[in-house]
Amino acid sequence: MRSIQNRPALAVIVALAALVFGGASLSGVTTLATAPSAAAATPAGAGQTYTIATDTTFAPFEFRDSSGELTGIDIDIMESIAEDQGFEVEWQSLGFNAALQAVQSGQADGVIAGMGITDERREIFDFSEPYFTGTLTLAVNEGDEGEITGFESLEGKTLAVKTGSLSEEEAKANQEEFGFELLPLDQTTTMVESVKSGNADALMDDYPIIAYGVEQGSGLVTVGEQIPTGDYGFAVNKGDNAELLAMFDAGLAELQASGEYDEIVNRYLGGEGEDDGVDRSTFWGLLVTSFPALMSGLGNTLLVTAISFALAMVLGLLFGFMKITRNPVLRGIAVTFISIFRGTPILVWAFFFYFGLPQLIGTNVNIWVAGVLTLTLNGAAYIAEIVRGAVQSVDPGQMEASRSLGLGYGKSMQRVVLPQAFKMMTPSLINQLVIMLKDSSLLLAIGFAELLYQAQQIYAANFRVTEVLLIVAVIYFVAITLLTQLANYVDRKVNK
Amino acid sequence: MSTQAVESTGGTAPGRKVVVDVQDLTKSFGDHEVLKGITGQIHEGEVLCVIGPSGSGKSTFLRCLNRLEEPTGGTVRVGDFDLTDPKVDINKVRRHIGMVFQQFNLFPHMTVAENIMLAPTEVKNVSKAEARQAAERLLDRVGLKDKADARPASLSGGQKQRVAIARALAMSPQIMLFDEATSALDPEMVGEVLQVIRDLAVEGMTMVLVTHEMGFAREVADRVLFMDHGKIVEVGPPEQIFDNPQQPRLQEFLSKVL
Repeated sequence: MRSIQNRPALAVIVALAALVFGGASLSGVTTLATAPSAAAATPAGAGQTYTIATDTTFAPFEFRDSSGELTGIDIDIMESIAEDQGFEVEWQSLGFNAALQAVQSGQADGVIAGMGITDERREIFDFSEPYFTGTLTLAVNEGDEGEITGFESLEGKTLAVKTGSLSEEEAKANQEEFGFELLPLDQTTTMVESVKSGNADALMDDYPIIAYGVEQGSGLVTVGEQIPTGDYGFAVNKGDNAELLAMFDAGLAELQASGEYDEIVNRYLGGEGEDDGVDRSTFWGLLVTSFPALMSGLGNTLLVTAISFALAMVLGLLFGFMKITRNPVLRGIAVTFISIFRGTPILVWAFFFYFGLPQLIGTNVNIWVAGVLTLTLNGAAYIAEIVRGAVQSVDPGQMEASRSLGLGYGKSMQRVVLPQAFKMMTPSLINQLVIMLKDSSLLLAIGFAELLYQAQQIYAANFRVTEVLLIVAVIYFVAITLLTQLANYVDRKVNK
Repeated sequence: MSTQAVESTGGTAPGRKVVVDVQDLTKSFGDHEVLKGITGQIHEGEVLCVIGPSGSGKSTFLRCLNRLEEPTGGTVRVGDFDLTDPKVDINKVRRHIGMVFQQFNLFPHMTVAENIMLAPTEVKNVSKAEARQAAERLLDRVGLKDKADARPASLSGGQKQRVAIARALAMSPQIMLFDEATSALDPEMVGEVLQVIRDLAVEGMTMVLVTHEMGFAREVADRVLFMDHGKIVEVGPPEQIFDNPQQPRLQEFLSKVL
């Protein structure tokens, strides 16, 4: 079970974003689907479409399958309930803390994300009946299961636990008795990597996550007795969407009675994984199964970069020129714009445009719009400086010669100075394009399905971090090399 | 020395049309006063050479004549236009004033012909074909007929400067300004550029030349103007200036450069 502290880094960023854009009250939002007064026969809210927020990857509760489709226990349960109760679900895959934030801000109607029911959270959310009971388990490298069988065999060894979570609490409670070292880490993937690399001898984490990873070839095995932790629930913002909560409870009861619930859980934890004849444990198997998802990620990366770069060029030219005009107002605007967007992290703006802005304007912001705005404004600040530098480096005699022929300032810029400036700024612009392509990976924080996001989805489910990152690095490298070649070719053609 | 020197000792033919009329022109860069009150006139068809030591203000004076430098005080009239009137359309005035720079300032991203065609097509809305024909005629005139489609980078310094002259002539200016047009050239290329300027003088072009070529000034100038410390020291026909200078400062200058 997870607590808010599971991901301190993300929590800090969300808090920071909330602070920076503080004026945004969390309540000033429109609820997407207000329940119409329904006829008595059908449940209130039937026929509606609800936006449900979830984590990006918390396998086996939610993750992407090999084709990039959202799947998992939470997803299947929610969709089965929706079918049973006659409503539609629109998923928002955001990351755990972002998902909670989305529900609080009204971007989403409910959240299902392997979320533990706690008293603290009950003050902010209304919970459904529990739909899953969490347990903790120990896990060790395959081959060590004879040596390590539980807390009792951990003396003098190192145990990786998740910072601020129940696994840390549980381990601390047993530490004195059994005499082992603790290694608190932020993420399950890091914990698994620590055990695999020998930095830790064992780990303790949520059973379903570890069990699913084992099935996906993580190279670990679970050992010892499972320790019950608490219940998982579906949640809505306190006081909102009561009809949705009621439908969830009713649908869950139906699923449990019909046996469909057990079917769903066994699909992920019962050793009946996808059987498509590919051996996932080899590198080749990993490559084949993850390739479609990675390619769709690459497509999104290239598209968002292309759109953002084109817009950033327009804005960058504008601000670059404003910065060299003699008009102090225009110059002031340009200087302010450039220093704001050069002086603040991209991540802050991504959060602002996706989570903060909707609360200010009272309507949702499409993730593409948020992503493009973020990259465009950041890129434009840098391009403005490139433009300014290039224009100022053109020999002033060129402008004088053109002006002395009777051409105005604008015409002289357009016909004489700019063509030469463009030639000079091309290498810097290509460089900026490459930086923007790499920066687009930061959009994974708001759940934008670009390349690194897809990679994270994959390794968060199977814990093969090194291999997946290696594949992704090669894809980025190839894409950037090809792009640079293309840009240089165009440069040679245009600026001969 | 009197700032009315140009009129009082000038060797111009009275009654000819005044092309440039400068009254009490001053120019300061910050606290530094570069021009300290220049007054004089240039008449149609006249060739005026401006000489003087470095820093005497002769280039600044020239650049004030097409307002590449904004005068601080006084008036500058060229043809029917008052350049110092804030309401004047300076782009319109500059069409009538050709300028040739020490560093040529050809546009490196255009061919020779495109350099010459730019202003006629952009400013006068002349058709491309017509501008091209005119450019070829001008190139013929400066002896570079076969260079129309060459890039400036492939030309020698002398050739570049001849193209720059052709470019300025393409607007059919009333007056041509030359700012040390041969100073950046290798000695063996000075002659070809001076020949083009000499031809222009023979054709009756009104010209102001800031130059260090004393022999050339003596040969082509109708009047020579000697400046020092932002003032006109002496002005007169070349015979007077070079053979019988009146002012000690000019005598001293000539003793060093001749």
